[in-house]
Amino acid sequence: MFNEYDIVSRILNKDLRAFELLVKRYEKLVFFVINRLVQDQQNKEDICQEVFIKIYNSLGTFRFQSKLSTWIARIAYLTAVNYLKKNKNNSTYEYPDNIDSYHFTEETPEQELIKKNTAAYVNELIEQMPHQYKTVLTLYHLNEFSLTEIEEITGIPEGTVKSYLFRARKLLKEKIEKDIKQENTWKS
Amino acid sequence: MEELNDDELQELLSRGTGTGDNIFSQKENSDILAYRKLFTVLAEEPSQGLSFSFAANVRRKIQEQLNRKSDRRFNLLAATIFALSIALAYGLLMWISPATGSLILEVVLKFKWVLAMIIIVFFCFLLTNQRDVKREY
Repeated sequence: MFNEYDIVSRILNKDLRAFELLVKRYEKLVFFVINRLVQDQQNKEDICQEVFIKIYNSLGTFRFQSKLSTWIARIAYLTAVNYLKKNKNNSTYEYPDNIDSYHFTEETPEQELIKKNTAAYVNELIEQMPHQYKTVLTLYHLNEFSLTEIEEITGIPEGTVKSYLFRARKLLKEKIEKDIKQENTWKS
Repeated sequence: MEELNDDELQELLSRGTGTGDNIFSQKENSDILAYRKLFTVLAEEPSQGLSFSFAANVRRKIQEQLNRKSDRRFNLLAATIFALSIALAYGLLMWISPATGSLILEVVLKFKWVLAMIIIVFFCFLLTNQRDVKREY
């Protein structure tokens, strides 16, 4: 059984096998966060490595005031945000100043091709969203963090996290429904 | 009964209710179904993940980092011990035989650049050796 206290204590005593266990346990968590926020496929694994190196170097500052998973997710989130800030010139999408007025824009030919695969289409739509929406969707649904934990990870107030989550899901649901209606109209 | 809005429907689904009830209208049922499908898709893991050797690669990087730190400490210690040894030897010599000590100091100062080069070459060799040698862990 994975005991956080035991593992952290062993890692701080330079036990690299214990650290490898920690990496294996949390690599998916870190990957889900980085995968959603970073679009550059080649850099994702490098950034995940960078996250774990940061975790190793700062594990001495972890005081068990939160769960280890929450602390690790915060490091992953901040690393991804720093990467986005450094590379914002390469970003394909421009985000609106007022996030609450965000809506999906005209469809691209790529989206037309992948509509048949709902999961791929939903992921394509999420790629277009502001990073705050992407983050809360991933942390809530994939990583299964609570709203309180997401606030600890991102620094966004819980009420705002909930608002982003509900709005992002509503946008996705309405977009998919609209597409289904359009398709049915064309077929008939 | 008033129809539930999107936020209320999402709240119901998040709590795990809204299943198999006949109290909802057709539109509400359609929305619940749409949200339920969406939640399922949102919880699906990405098809591509990290490489199988990811954990081992990270461990190797950390080991390299630790080795570099250890090498830096060793080099600093070696340089300090070397300098202290020279100073101690010179001190002892000056105490035993001041004339010999002064003579040696004169010779060292005469050939200071040659000696400095030898020391620099030695430490460069040490650094290169540390980088080239693969450590087993």
